[in-house]
Amino acid sequence: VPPARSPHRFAAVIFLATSLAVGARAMLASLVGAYFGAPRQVISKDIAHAAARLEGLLGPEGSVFYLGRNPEGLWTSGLWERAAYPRTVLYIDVADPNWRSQYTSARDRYDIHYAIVGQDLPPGLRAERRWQLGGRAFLVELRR
Amino acid sequence: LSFPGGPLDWRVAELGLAVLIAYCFARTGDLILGRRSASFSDLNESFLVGAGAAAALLFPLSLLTPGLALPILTLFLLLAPPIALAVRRGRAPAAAGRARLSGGKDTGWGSRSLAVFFIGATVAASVSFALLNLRSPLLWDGFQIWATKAMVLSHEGGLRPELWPASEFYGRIGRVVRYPQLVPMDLALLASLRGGFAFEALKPAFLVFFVSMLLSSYRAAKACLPQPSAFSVPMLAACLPLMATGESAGGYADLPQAAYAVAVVAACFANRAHGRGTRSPLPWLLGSLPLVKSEGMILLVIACVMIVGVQAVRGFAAVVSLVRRHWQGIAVVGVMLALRLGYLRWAHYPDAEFSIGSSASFARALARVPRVSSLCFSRLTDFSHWGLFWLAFLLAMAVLVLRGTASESALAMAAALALVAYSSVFLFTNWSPVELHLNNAYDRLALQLAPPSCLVIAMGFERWRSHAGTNGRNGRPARKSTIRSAAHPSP
Repeated sequence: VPPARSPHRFAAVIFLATSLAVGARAMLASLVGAYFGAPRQVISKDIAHAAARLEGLLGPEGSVFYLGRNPEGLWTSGLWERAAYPRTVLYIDVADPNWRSQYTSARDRYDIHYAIVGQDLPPGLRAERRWQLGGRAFLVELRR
Repeated sequence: LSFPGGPLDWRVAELGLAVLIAYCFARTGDLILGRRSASFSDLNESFLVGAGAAAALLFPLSLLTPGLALPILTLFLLLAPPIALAVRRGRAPAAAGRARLSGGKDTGWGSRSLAVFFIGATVAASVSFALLNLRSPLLWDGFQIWATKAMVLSHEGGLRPELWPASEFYGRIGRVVRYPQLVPMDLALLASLRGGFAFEALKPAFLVFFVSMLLSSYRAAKACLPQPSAFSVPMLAACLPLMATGESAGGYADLPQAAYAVAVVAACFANRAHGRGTRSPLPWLLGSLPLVKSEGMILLVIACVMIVGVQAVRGFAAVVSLVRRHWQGIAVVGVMLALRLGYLRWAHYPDAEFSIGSSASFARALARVPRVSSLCFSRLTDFSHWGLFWLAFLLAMAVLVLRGTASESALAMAAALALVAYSSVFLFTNWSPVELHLNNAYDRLALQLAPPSCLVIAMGFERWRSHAGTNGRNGRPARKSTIRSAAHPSP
């Protein structure tokens, strides 16, 4: 039988104690964060309701733009892409220097007439009509 | 129960359906392996085999029956349990591992207390993961990639060469189509059975993979370690911060990939009494690796190299004999690999994440070596994420290479090689700066290797202990017997 204070036992105790302590701390912090801080759903109720209103306004067919700015626009457009699925929501980052050519190319290629915006339309675009979808999101019919 | 974000939904129905799907996969695996699993450990192995085979089949089914592949798969899965139970009625369950477990038990009070402690900590970590998985929303990749692919699969009824119309426009979201289908398929099946797709409702599927990872870890450990050390392996894996929290509970596929990686190790160490060729679980598990995550291709190559390498040590004739005896299993791996490559070709979506092959990309990779090495080292030694885990792995690997058997050394070297390979991919990333990509993904890649690495650590400790014990008794170095036999010598 190896001696009680042999180095391998000491190393094992240190390693196990450290692993358990680090794991327990992370689990506790994550549980507190998840139950008392984090949102419950990735697609908020606001966006889900707004997507339902979008379908009510446009019917099940037709692609729309989501006009936003990175980095917030990248995530929010992703929420819209999924909330409005199977409708195609095509994101244009209007902070990109080339956004105008992307917009024109996509508009002509996919015959898109509407855009979801969270604020005013970017310079150079004009709206025929405008509907509030819910929260800060608006649907605009784009003037060609 | 009510919390600031609203009352807690226990998702009992979805958890039941996730377990039902896993059971159907397990019986499908039983049909493939020609056995009738009776223990949780065998059922778990069959589950992974069945899920891998179904994921591989999903691609040709999507080609042959567009829009109907998922319904056909669902129908087959629901029929699998009665068929498997009818076909295999009366056959003895495969329980080779169980017999060895009872043979290696240490019944001393101290060992029993330690075993109870290890099991208790594993259960506590599992409950913590279950509660976290129930409540935390999907995180970035879990939402943007895996659940999204599942949503499209559920809606379209099969795989598509593009994610959705216009998804390839400026290449932003279309790349998701390249990702493998095993996890999305599991989520889409759950959505089909519950009658509709809802992002957070599918989270219980990840609890099944968490438990599967623990069962496979224990299966591998009990085959080559004495008790109670074998119980420490699933405990170490369950208590890793990245395994029990964060992205594992956020719907990422790294947890399922870890479950497959350690299942491969378990199949190598624990299944010597099981079937050969197509009846062996090993080729099906190996072939499933690239169907979970793209990095699975790296794991597959390393696993095959190591399996052949262990034989090559005995001479070329041993390699030829291995190929002759297992040509059917090699064919299974080849077919599953071909289906993955065929799917990538069908999707035909360029990989914009990495540049490999040009001289410029190699020059850039060489210039990045010091920076990437330093970043990887700092990630692996991040105490809040890993504690002393990788330091212990390094020591254990040294012990096993110096003192272990050929298969123990091979496992340690395979895990280390996979870690080096995972680090090396960042040399070729197109993300700029490289830190952005590495800080986003490296820990998750290392996590895939954590359960096999837990086994390496426990093996290294046991080898060190048995060596110290032998030296303490007679002053001579320990003979290279297996750890189990060293810990429990025959009279």
